[in-house]
Amino acid sequence: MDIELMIKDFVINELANESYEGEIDIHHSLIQKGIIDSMAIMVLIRYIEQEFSITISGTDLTPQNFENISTIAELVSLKLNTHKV
Amino acid sequence: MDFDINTDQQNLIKTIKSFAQKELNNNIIDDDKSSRFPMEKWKKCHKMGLFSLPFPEKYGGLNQSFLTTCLCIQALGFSCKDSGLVHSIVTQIICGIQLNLFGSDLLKDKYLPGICSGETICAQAITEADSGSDALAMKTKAIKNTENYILNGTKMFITNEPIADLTIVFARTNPEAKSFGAISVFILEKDTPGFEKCKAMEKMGLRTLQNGELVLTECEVKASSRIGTEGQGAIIFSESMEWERILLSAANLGKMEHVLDLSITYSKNRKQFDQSICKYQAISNKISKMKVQCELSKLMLYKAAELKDHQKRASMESSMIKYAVSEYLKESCANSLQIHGANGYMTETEIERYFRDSIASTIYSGTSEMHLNIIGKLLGL
Repeated sequence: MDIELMIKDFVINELANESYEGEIDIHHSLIQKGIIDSMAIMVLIRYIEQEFSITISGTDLTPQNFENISTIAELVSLKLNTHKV
Repeated sequence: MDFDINTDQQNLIKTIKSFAQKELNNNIIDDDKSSRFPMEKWKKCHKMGLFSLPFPEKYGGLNQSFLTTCLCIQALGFSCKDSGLVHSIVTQIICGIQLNLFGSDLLKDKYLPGICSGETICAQAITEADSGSDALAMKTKAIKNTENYILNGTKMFITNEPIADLTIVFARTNPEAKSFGAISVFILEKDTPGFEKCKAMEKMGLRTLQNGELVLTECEVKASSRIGTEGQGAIIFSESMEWERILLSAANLGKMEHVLDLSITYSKNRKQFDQSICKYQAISNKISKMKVQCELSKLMLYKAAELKDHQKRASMESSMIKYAVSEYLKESCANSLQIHGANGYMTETEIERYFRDSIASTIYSGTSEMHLNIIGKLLGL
């Protein structure tokens, strides 16, 4: 399954509040929309690490990497490629 | 997972227990009454290398695993009767871990040797009057001018602050933005102009631990004193809380084991109606429950520490262990006091102090209610 799509599904189904009605585009800022907060980031990282069997730590943990679905997917792809090497 | 304690770890535990019993357990009742921080004992602890356990050797550290560090702090919690001093030591180690994980080489070279040796006392300022559980709703601002940041705001209840040489301060670098991505972290020296610490606050328990207010007024700090990147504060907070909650639980587990030992000894020696009170199930059941809680806590604690040693996430595990151990400790202390009866209520048996000290454990580093919320959230609820 496409990484971007998997993350989008997770964000919509697990992180966005039930009352959140707006469209979530892959380039929309999840931080500005209030979807990613201090609690949601823990849930998201836990999902990513378990689902893709990667570790996100240290310099990966920047707000820029979690800005939107596209940047999160990029980070996951990068980590997956690093693991392959 | 291998939880066998190896010979080196056993020796460390033995050494720490013997050191604490010999060097750290005098005058505690008086220190508690006067809320005095035992600086002379702190100095003895840095001679023992207690602050340097998990840090790299190049900074003067002992390069021990986090599991070993937890075992040592558990041993300290067990044998040092001053829970305030133990908490202060844990805070020092956590500040060092935060700096070691996210600080630049420049900051690590400058500050970690002092933190490891204990000559530099460290505090971590997150909480404010209006932002406790909702820590990231903080109002303290750090506004960037050309080169530096100007900090303004007031921090509350900060552990070690009244005696600290160095404070890790969390502040909003983007007051307009949402909390996530708007907070950054800085390291400030105590003599920075505009940095004003207030005297220690009086407390119910952990009275030797020094907690106080920090007022920042037009306090200028260099951009090079920022820990991590701008806006990384919320992530640094989440990450470092995992380490903090596990290490504090190690100290509290040690205390719980000590209270269990005291309860067993007292209930065997105390006779009523011609037999030891431990022969009454109303008493023995309380003690059996304490033992179960100690063993459960040990397994959870070692698992969480092992996860951190393998650079794995322990957000769920750290919340579970923090919630469980703090609640178990409070219950164990209350039950131990009940088992000790009138003797337990008296200051000299020290149980009443353990009980007072234990109350804070379900409040600091995230209340029990917040930890249940975190666990629920991580379960997808």
